[in-house]
Amino acid sequence: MNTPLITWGCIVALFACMLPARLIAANRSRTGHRPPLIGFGSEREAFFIPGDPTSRQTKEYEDEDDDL
Amino acid sequence: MKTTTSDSARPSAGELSLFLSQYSARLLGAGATCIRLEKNAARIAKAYGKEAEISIMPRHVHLSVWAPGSTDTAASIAAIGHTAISFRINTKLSELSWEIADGKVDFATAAKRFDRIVRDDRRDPRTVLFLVALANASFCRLFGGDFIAMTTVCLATAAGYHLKLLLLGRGVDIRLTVLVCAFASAVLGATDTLFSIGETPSVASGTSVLYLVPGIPFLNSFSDLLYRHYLCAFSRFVDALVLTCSLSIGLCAGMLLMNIRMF
Amino acid sequence: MLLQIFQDALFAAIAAIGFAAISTPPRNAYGWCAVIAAIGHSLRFVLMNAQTQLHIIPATLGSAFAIGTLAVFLSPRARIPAETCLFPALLPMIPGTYAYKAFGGLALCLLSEGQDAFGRNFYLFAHNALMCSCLLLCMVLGATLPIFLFQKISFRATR
Repeated sequence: MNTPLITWGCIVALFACMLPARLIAANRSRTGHRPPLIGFGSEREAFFIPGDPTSRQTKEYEDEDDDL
Repeated sequence: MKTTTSDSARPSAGELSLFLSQYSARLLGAGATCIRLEKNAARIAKAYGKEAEISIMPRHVHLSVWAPGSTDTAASIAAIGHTAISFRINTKLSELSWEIADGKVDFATAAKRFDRIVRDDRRDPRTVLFLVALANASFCRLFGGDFIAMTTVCLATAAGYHLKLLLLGRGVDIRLTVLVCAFASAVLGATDTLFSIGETPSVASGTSVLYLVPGIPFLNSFSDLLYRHYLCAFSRFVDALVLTCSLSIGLCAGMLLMNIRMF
Repeated sequence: MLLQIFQDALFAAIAAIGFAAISTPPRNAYGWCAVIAAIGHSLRFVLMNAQTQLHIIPATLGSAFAIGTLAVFLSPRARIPAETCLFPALLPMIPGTYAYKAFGGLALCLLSEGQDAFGRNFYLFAHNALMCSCLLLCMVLGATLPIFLFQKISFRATR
């Protein structure tokens, strides 16, 4: 086995992977937070129909219930 | 002309002791020599009509402040923070001591200025990375390396320093960081030997890790030694020695795996 | 020879700026660090390479003294403490190779078998460690001597 070549290859591969990842991370932090391409949303986000109560309104109703 | 602060603006020994202990801890953390700290602290205390004695321990500063001819005395201890060496903070804090001594700022303003100086330690990691890589390549040239060796060293240093910033940013121990970075730089620095390129591959291997040598702590320790601050000198020397040991372990491991005989 | 001296000065100046950047000096200090390092390092080069052919230790002591003197007299102009341009200017002369070769020698000592191999490796360790310590001591001694001699100037630079 050619140990020097394998060691060198591993280190170079590590940096080759690290650099684009860091550049993407730096770019993302500079441009601000972007929503992920694929992700899980809540049920409300998935089935929201205009006119449905927002979460803020729901809280207000809950407050009224408490007062009762 | 030397002026001192008016009686109304003078802090009590307790207030001054607290301020000076924070000031001293930060100044030492920024890499100032013990003699610099003694001079600056004595200058500030004198401006407020007080006297100060400092005992500098490896990890703490013990300060005693008193007003001559009165019972107004105070003592305080502050821990020396593990911060990066910053000559900018060193310079700004020395300037502040002279402004206090010359009566240009009152105590409240001085305390605010101190907070601002300590907080405002801007670093631009990308510029530093670029400069360090260039510096190590120049170092390679000073040791007789050719242009190919310089390029290899420049890339090995940039990669190693990048890794150093990444690991330190994640809170990894400095000794482990130095070891890992030395290993990575040594392996990359051995590129010329591995592929038989350039005329001076051994120079590239030898100089690729020199950016990790703790030069300022070594210089500070010997400077403290000359001014008879033996404890501080010894602690700084051992700190620097431990980092050099980590560097050597990383380098030797890299050389061993790359099958290079350096010694 | 002149070209070699110029090259040495140029690369020492770049090295000083780069290594100084790690310790975040004030912006106006970079230029002074570069100039002082260039003069100091090229002086050592001349002392070691010309007819004098001085040993590295006295050559380092001499150039460190020159660096210290320059730093003391130039720091009040830049309004920075003498160490701020003095220590970065000394960095290109730090005996880093001696330091890690000493540790390498020590490691080989521990791994070596037989008296001859141990003796050779112990020589490597002792020689490099001694050289490293002596060079550091000479550097600091030479550079701080002017601070000690001209205390009034060197501790008032930031006034």
